[in-house]
Amino acid sequence: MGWIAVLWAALLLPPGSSGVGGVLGRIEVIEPRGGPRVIYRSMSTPSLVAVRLSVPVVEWPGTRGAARLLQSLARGDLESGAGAIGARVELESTPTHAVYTIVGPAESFETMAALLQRAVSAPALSERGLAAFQARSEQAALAALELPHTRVHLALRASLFAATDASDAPPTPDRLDAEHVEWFWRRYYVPERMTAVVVGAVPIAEVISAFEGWSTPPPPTLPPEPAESVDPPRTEAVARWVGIAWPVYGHDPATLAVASALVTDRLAGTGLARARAELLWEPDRLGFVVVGSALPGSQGNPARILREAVEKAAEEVTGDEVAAARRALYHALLYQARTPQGLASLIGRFADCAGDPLGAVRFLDAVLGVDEARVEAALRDLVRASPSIVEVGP
Amino acid sequence: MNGGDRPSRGTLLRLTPGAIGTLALGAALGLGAPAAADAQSRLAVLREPDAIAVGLAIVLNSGSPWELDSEAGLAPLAALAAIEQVRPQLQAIGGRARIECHAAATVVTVHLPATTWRLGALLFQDALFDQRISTEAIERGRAELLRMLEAQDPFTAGLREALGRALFGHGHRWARPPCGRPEAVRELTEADVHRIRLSRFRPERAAAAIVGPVSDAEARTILAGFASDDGLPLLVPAPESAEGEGRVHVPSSTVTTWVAIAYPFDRDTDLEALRLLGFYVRESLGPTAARPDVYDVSTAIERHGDGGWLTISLVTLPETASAREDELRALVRETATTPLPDARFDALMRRYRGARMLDLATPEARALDAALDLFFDQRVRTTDSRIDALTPGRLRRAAAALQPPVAASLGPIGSDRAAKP
Repeated sequence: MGWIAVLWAALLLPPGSSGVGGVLGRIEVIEPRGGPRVIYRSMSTPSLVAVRLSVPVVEWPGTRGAARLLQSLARGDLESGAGAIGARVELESTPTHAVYTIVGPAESFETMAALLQRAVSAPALSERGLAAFQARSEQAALAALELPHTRVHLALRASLFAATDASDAPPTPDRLDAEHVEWFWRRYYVPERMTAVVVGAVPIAEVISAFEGWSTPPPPTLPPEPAESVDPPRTEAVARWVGIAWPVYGHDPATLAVASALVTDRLAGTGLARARAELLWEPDRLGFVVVGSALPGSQGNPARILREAVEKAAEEVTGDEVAAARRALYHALLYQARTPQGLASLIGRFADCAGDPLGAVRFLDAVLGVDEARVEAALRDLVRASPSIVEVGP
Repeated sequence: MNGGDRPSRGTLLRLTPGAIGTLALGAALGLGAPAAADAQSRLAVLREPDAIAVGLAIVLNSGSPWELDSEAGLAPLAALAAIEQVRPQLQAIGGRARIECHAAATVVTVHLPATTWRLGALLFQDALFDQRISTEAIERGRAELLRMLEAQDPFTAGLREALGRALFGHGHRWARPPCGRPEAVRELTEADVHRIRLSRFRPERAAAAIVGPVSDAEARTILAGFASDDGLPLLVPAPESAEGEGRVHVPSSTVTTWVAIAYPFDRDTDLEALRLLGFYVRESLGPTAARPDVYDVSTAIERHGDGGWLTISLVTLPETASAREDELRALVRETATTPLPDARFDALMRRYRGARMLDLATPEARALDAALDLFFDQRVRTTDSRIDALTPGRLRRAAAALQPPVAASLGPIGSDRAAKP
């Protein structure tokens, strides 16, 4: 076991000294003419390529649900086209981006890029067809709001980042018509505003060629009248859900992410169900959130338990605890990134949050530099601030 | 892949006395003929310089046929106990390990970050082969195995057991569930675990592959601790002649009927073409709007030292189960007689290549694929080259090489064709 001990000791030396900026490998940023910005990472094996295209959007009241609706309109053609070449598609609508991902055999890269281009180009907007998609899209959004966990998250986000939504009520979808969708598409689906992450076994010249010369939508006309809002459904909660959110200023996301991992570990022993801390990170704004639930009849006040967990962590945090949380977070991110799709997702998510194509690399680097003092300072500042509290219960 | 590519059974003549002793034991156990092996054939390093993680797979020659009925699950328990022994250290360096139970082997796969793979591999090697496993690790391994067994879908497990009877007969060692049975796992002792580790968890009875940004020489040195390249053949077990029941129906109070058909094949069968056949069947007969009575179609290939069997399973409405089974058999027969037209084959291949590559998206999956190749065939070929070599003729020949099938079903009375006149 002697040789193992030596290697082990070497690996437990204070991290960060050797520099790990290259842990994700060589990443290149390309600006094809008339197309999305491309973040490219060559990966020769397996013979797959993943393309993640993100479109930054802002869903003001009156156009809420537009990104999801545009994705619904594109889904059928995108999935059938992908199926024909053995590729898979994932569509995701986040509060700040509409994300289109396709992963498939590298030999079909050109077809995959063309499918994505078509998916974000002018939508087919017959009134009748749109009404059916609108109804399905609205139902999906409302169904998500029936879940207490989702509802608490959305309400916390609305309370933290109120600029787009002047209340702390969870955003509900608006009843959009063709005019709203057309305006939204013209306003946001401009190729030069998009970011494509390409990871896989495809030469850079092919990547540049695939993203050049995408057509730009015509300029938007005057915004239409805001669409009618849909009433939120009643939440189907068996347990009482509580969430607390703090706005964060002056601390870096890596420190807060390590702090959230550490607080999540501590929450495991509180008796609350599905209790966890999370970092909310959107372009130019940060928030720190703790959420948990308690069944009726459970002892203790969930809001107090959540808050005390954060306060105690601020007072008692140790170097070992920070090191364990830091390692767990760092390795969890690398584990997700072990496939072309996982790596594209990691690079893309951090590019979307940080507005920096190398955001993932810089974040991973920064995580290794997080220490006890920084976590303690961040948590202490947090508990001194005034939080928002959201409760959803039976 | 054909018979001419393989070492002949004459390889047995080159065995050392120790290996002959092993063969004698195998014969006594009724384990059939071994798969022949060459030197330099039980470990593989697949370099992927621009990957960010390392996958390691070890295939141990310790499947359920080596176990007594009362100890079903012993090998998986021993493998899980080894993982539990080093889990905290592995986790601290970003490593994750898991097991898979195959009929002929117990398989461990390990994911390791590129920066810590050496330490992770050595730690795991020590736990798997050398270190004494603690009582606590065995108990954690037992809890994990019981959790795995209890999490199994009871219909899938029941159908698998019925198919085992159809293939080999009731009580046959090859008809056992490969991960064991909860009642046996609960009774296994610490001494049982140590015994199987001493007898079956040995580098000379394993194949191993590593995939990732590793140097060939270094990886080969470390891999040599997992699987020895000593030139001796692996005695991969194969079923002795068995009296299978041919067709088994298990009545159940389900609203659907589960049907599984197993086509045995011999060891010269083109495995990649069989995988393509499975994909073709899933695509052709899977659930669509035009087939609302079909809820699922899946395929699996199980191998042993003399070949294996292709299982095609479907879940359907009881009243259409017989017709859907006939349709399935007809599709396999038709594929065996008529090559697909080129255009149709090319379109199929585009979809198959994507699906196969997606299945192998993780480094652990690619390492496992390579290690299983080594274990059964003593060589590794890249997935791209295997797929590139497929043709309509090879697909047809693979289907034609299948032996007469056996079948099992699980569902309400009346959905069983054997019960009908």
